[in-house]
Amino acid sequence: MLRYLIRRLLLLVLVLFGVLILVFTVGRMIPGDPARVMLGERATEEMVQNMREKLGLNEPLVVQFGIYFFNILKGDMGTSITQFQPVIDIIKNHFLPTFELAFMSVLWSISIGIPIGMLAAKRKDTFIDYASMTIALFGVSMPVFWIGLILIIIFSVNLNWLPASGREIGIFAALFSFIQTGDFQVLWKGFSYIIMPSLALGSMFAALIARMTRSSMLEVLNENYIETAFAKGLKTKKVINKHAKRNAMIPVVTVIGMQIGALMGGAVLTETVFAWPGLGRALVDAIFSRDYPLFQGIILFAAMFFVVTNLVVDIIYGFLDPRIKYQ
Amino acid sequence: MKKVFLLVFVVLFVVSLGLSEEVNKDGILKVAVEKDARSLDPVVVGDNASFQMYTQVFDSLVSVTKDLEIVPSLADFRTEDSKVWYFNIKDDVKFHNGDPLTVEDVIYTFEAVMDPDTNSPNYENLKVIEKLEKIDEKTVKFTLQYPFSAFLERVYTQPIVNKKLREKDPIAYGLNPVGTGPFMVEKWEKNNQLVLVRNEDYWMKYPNLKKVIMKPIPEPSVALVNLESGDIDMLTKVLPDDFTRIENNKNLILDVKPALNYYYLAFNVENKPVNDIKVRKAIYSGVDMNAIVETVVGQAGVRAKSSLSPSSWAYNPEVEKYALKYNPSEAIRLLNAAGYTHGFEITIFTPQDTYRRKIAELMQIQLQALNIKANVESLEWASYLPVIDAGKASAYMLGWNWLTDPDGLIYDIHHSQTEAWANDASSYNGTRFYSKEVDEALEAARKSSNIAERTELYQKVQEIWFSNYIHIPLFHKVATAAFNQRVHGFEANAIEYTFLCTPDTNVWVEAE
Repeated sequence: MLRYLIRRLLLLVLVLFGVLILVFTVGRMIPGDPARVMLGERATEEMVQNMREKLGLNEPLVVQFGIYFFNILKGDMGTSITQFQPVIDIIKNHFLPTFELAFMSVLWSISIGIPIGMLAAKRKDTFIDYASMTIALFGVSMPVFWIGLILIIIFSVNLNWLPASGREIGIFAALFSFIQTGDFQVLWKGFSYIIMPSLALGSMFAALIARMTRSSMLEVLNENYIETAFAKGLKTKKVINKHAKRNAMIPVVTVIGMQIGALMGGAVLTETVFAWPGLGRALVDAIFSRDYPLFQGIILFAAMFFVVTNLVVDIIYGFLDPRIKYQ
Repeated sequence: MKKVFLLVFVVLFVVSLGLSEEVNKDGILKVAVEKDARSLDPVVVGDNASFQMYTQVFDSLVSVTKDLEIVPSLADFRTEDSKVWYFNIKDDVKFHNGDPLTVEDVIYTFEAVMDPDTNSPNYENLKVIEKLEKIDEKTVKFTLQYPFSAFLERVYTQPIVNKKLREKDPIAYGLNPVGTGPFMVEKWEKNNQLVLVRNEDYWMKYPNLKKVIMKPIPEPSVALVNLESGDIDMLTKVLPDDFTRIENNKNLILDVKPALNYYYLAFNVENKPVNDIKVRKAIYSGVDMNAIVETVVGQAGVRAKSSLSPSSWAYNPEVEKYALKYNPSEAIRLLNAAGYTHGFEITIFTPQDTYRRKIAELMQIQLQALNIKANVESLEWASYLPVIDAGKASAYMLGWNWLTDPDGLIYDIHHSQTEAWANDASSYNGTRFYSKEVDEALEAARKSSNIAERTELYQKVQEIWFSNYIHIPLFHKVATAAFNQRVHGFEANAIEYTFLCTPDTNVWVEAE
């Protein structure tokens, strides 16, 4: 296990190095000049050149990459060209909202997706199966942007139950404060803002997880050991809960892990619709303003999170299925 | 009879009491903005989004009224020849932290902008300043390179910072600035909200608003929903498609005003085939520009005939005759005369803005009839400007805003930039149309403070420019604002600034 871990960690470093090279070169290939964007329409060529010099953009690309790489090794992700703040601070500020959004949407997708998938598998080829899978197909196909706007129209405009966009206090802070003071208002303030964005984002994954759970469950239910369990006279509930569920969950866990990882890059559309101050919006802004250090930093961070989550998921497999041994 | 009079008097008195609203001084105003500020330090950022936010925190030496008149703010000013300017700072102006405003703060602010190492976007605006001198404890003398009549407008765009604090840590200053303005920063969560609280000791007046919350909401439809649901009180940008929806909502007010801007299609006259005036005219008369602008822009703007809007004192009504009517047969005749009997292919470049892209697309359809194959290419800003600078765009669309003086528009987009053109470097005039007469007129107008003389010069520039068909003027966009009925004292204004507490505004919000 330890050897496996070390190997995976080394691989992780290699993957991140690859990401770094890719982001760096692709970023430089987009036409446009950060100095120009930053100085605005009124900048003269002299100023632009001066700025490029200062940012080190006139050095050969290899030198620029070398400097960037060694700074990263030292833990310095550089300073944002457009916001004048250290990249790491900007990531820190936008990380929590993004994490909250990812967390909540995963919660939604698990709590909606798994029960629906299970039910559909149990009632295969019945009306319930068809209905739930049709809804799931709908969920997968609908763009998040559209679902978001529909939710806003229903819950903000018509019912006036939830705020349409923005973020007041973080859900974890709200939860903590609720536990300490018992003030329900604060708890509601924290959660009311995240319900719609996380539901919009989670609905797509819920649909995916429902389909995944159903097919995985059906596959497991056809296995010989399940037949044996039934033959022993066990009740359906017990067979499903004790014998089938755990095994059926392995591919589902993979999907969930990938989902968390992918969401850390920011759910750009959801964050834009709901004006959610997450990493996705920061990333898009950084790309549009050619803020090289900032978008490189965010992508690197997201990649790192993705790879680490996948590693954790692989380790969780071992607990779900003792047959899986890492060597 | 006496009783009747008394009764009328009492009734009138009671009615007037009911009508006179009491100004609520505890209101919170929530404003939706399109984008967040990059920094709140006015020395290092000057983009519109940042400006709208930091002007609530800072004051400049001069201010602008709703009618765009420049009035003294932190300082009284005088000049005799528009070359040497004296600014006399007011007594008792204090920064939010209690530091008194000094001449050193003023000099530091301008010097920081002028320092090439700062890379300030406002440098270009202020580089006309040759020398700054402290005359006494209250007076600063600005000596310019040449007499510049529109200088005060440039001074307005540069708020004064606190020397001591900014020098200590400019980055921290940009995140939590200390100014002299009507509001102080309480907290700033990037991309989420900027919370400002009233500066209780504001030197100019007592701001009516207790708190201002500015929320960046990038999606206009979501911003509107927020306004409708009461989550925000004001929008400073409204899409034309939403006009009727807002007007039909009895809780909301839509305010539309003519604005100072100019959107146009420009030709690069060095590139074939648009180097030939006949081709430029053929393109113009080959499209029904009035109908296109009407269809695309609708209520959000008016058709432009010149770079300046008709409300400007320097507008030249004579150039309206150069606006060509839709006349395909004339267009074909011109093309034949230019030797393009079989048409040609051209790309119209536009930024990724709905109006301009749609206009280009409609032009594309109409130009087909003339055998002109027009491609439309929409690029995002960072990629767009370099294409124009490099002279690759034969036809491109741009827009330009200006403040109070026509110089800010007309000089920038009409003056030649030969050096930049030669090096494919950045310039605001990418047409590469050189006219000595235009350049001389613009320079003379800039240096003159005689309005009649300046008018004549600017009219001459417009005459030369539009008779040569270097631009096809598209439209002047209107300024819009939509707000809740509870908001009082706010108006959309021609320069599209969010004036909340300025010499002639003091916005307030009714209690909920």
